Amino acid sequence: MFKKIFLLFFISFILTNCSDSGDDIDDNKNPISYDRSKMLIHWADKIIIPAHTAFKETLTNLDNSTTTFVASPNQTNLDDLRSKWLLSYKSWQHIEMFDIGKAEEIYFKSKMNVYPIDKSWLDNNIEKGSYDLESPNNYSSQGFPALDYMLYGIALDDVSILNKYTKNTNYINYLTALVNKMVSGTDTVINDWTAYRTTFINSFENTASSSVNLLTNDFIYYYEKGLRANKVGIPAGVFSGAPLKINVESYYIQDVSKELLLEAMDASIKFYNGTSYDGLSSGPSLKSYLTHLNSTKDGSSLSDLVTTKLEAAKTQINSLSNNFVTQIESDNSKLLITYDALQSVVVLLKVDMLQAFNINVDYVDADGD
Amino acid sequence: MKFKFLPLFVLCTSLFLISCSDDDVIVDNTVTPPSTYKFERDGLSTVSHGGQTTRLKMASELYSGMKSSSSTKAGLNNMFNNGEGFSDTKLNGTGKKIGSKTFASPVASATVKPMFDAMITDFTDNVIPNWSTAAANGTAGKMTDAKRTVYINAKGHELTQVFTKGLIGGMTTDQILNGYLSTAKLDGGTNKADNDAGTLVTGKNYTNMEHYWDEGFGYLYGEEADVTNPTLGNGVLLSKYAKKVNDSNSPGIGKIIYDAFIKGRAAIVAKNYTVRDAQAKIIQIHISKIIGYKAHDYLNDYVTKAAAGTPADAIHALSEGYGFVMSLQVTNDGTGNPYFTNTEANAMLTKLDNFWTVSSADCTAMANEIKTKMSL
Repeated sequence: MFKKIFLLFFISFILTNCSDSGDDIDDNKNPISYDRSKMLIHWADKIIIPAHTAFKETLTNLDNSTTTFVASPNQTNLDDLRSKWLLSYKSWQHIEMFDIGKAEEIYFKSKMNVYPIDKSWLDNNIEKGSYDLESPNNYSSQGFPALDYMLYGIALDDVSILNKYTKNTNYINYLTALVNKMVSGTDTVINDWTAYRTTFINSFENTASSSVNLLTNDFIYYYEKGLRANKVGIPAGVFSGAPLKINVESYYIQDVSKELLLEAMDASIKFYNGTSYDGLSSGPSLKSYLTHLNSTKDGSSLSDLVTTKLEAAKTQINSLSNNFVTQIESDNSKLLITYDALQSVVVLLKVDMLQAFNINVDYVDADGD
Repeated sequence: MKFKFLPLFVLCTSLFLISCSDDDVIVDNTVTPPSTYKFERDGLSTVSHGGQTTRLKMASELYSGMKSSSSTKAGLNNMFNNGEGFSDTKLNGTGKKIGSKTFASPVASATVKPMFDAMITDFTDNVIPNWSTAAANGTAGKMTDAKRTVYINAKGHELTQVFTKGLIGGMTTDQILNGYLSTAKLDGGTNKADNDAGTLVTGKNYTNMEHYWDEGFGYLYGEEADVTNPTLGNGVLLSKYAKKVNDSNSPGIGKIIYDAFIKGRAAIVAKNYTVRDAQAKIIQIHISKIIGYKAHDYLNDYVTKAAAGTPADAIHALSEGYGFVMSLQVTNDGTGNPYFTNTEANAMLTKLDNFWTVSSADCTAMANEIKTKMSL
């Protein structure tokens, strides 16, 4: 009997002695113990849906200004349309990451923000006067980048640009078609959220197809590809032999490239922190989830480390020229340093954070070997 | 009756020993590795790293190109960034490129790769036109001493050496340690589930995880005539210096690395990822040491050779050292961190910048710092 007790004691000693060797996650804080459901409700009601609603408002303004412009293509109306385009483009930066549900189904982001545009294809669309904007062939001939071209790039100066619209109705027609397409796509996505919200918030379990896992992956994918690679890495030449100026977002106006990136960065930081779209409140988030799990990296809090690195990347962005084309020409290394700062967050999100959540990455790097 | 629980007790004791041993030395006998890097499924080899072999051979041609006065900027750039224009025509049209694998892992700084493009430009724009000019501080050209002749840029860098030694870190070391052997890569996508289920890559005889490990292996052993009996010393990159370090600084390091590659690969087959990661850590630490030893040795060589009155030979050594110092930033101490960060490596490179005015005391101090920090 004594021996049995001793043995039990010994076994429990083994178990307790080994329990603190796990490095990152406290055993009694299983990833699923966090209230993912509340997080989804916060994401839907305080971030995603309000961001879409706000975006729709900017797009309606853009649509109205387009109507005014096509009726009277003059400098005043062009200036107005350009300013509405920029406001809407900035607002878009807050929703591009939500590539889920209807948005994913209709390839919303591919129709809204693929750049660089295929200029010769787009010119050909205008000339022919017929095109299928649903076709993937036209992803690089529509959306905000196509409007950038239509408003700044079709001729060398404003007088010549206005001439295009006054002398050739094909330009008027294409501009109108582009804006209409953006409006209809946005309506489709927003209308669907009314019904999709219920599905979305009820899918809180940890499976490859649950809302938490999908949107967390979407967020990281957006940050890695949409933000880090598209806006900085590709134009800076990280993936090519030399910088690619034409790949700068808003290539035809150029001097808003930093403004757009900062907007995207703010949207990413807000989403990570769980800050509501209106900025007035905050709720459950990737950050508070990590805090709940007490996740650490090299001895410090992972949730804080991500914040620190995100803010450092933002500081780096702020040091850049407003115009990334001129930044590439004058000192491309500043863009590369910015890329490094952005990349350092990717590692934390994609490896450390997902490990803590026990979520698998649902996309594979196409780095080809 | 008395000994009823003895076997259980012994079992518990051994469990205790296994599960609670030091984190750094994971004792696990559940994976029995084969004696050589030979892995098969249904009688066919599952090992493949042709892309790595291709890039290693490309590096040899670039090494030659970076010291030939008949090279052109377009030609070298085409080789480096497009993977085309090699005299060994089997290397062309493969889609493999060195440029896109130069300081390209998730933890490498994107600021480094442009230095390689700049070296190509500097060599073809400045060094080649000055092939018959005597080099001086601020002037590219030729320098000869009793030991050798070097062709150097205005700062005294022998670019073929900086370029190639930079690639030892920037391509081979970074790709192995921070790319293929990282859990992020090995466990990426559905790799773990696929490997557990034995799901093979479409049309291939290996799982993704097996293949990633092999690709890491290929950056060191890709030019071996027989990977089941590696000699090291092949080509111009890591293999060459692994042999040198094995033959001098650290006898046996070659076997440690090779055995870890075998055991890690066997662990993947056995679906034992704890053992796999322990082996990855061994490889990361030991390959890092190869870089450390060479950076340390070449910095000291420079000091010795400069003092011996052989400036060309000294500059040759320092060019190698410069490339290895650049490589330090992609070493990996087994926890995912480099022994020297990008910022720290750059600080050293700044001190070394102009070989005409570099301080021997600085070189010695840096060599000592590397030795201490990397426990060489």
